Amino acid sequence: MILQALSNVFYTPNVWQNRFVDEIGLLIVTTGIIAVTVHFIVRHIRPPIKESH
Amino acid sequence: MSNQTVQRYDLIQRIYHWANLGALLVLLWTGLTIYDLNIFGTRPFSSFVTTLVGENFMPLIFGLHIYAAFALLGGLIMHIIYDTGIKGIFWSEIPSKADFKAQNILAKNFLGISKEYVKFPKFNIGQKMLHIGFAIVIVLIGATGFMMSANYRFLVPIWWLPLSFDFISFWARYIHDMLTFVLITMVVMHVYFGVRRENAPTFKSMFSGTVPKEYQEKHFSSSDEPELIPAPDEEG
Repeated sequence: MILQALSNVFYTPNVWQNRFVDEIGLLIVTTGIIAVTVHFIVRHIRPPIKESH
Repeated sequence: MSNQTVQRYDLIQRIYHWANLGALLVLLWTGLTIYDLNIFGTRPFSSFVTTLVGENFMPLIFGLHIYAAFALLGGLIMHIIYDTGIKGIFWSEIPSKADFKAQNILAKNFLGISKEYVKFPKFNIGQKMLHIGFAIVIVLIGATGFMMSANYRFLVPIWWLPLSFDFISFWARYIHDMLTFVLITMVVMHVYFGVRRENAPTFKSMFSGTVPKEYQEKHFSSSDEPELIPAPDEEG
């Protein structure tokens, strides 16, 4: 019953044509690339301590 | 300098790792062709395969996609059987409380708040969580992939749920596509940390299986728990 209701609300035909998934997908991948870029920059400003012991 | 080495990955683990990469590259290429990725009006993947095998490329691409999916999921089953069943590795790959504490120290060091550092056992908590993430995402992408296939739909028995066929195929495809982007992001992060210069010996060990003993002792904890490296003295 609940699932059927969800089915009616969330099923939107032809949403693929507007390529919504492209936008979200691009956002997810961009977030990851930004995260590794930030890590790269910070690690070059401040390298991890040398283990001298 | 000694030439002693310590084994990090055995042959089966290395074969599994690179077979995964091969399967994922085929899945990515064929997947983006099926999806018909559209970059500002150009469709590079379908154009490429059209020049390769002509207009009727879909049966070939679908076939490759399915075979690579079976290679990936079959490999996953083999990996679980081999590493848990035969090698008896399980709990050491699940993040522990000590791992979380250690990760905080690592994060503080990264942000410049503290000069303390940590040596982890074989894998740090970030790697362990990425590993679990890969497992969940790959299983979900596999399941939604099967749900979209007329031949393999029977592998995901959800026919008893009161859901319409259109609803299932819509959401199966949506989740399949979204999680693919998540998977791409996780692979990007994995590759980034893998190829960083300070991790070069562990990267090489995915080919050779071993790391130099000195490197192992310098960078990894000698026990199953993370090991704290105190902040160096000011003069040191």
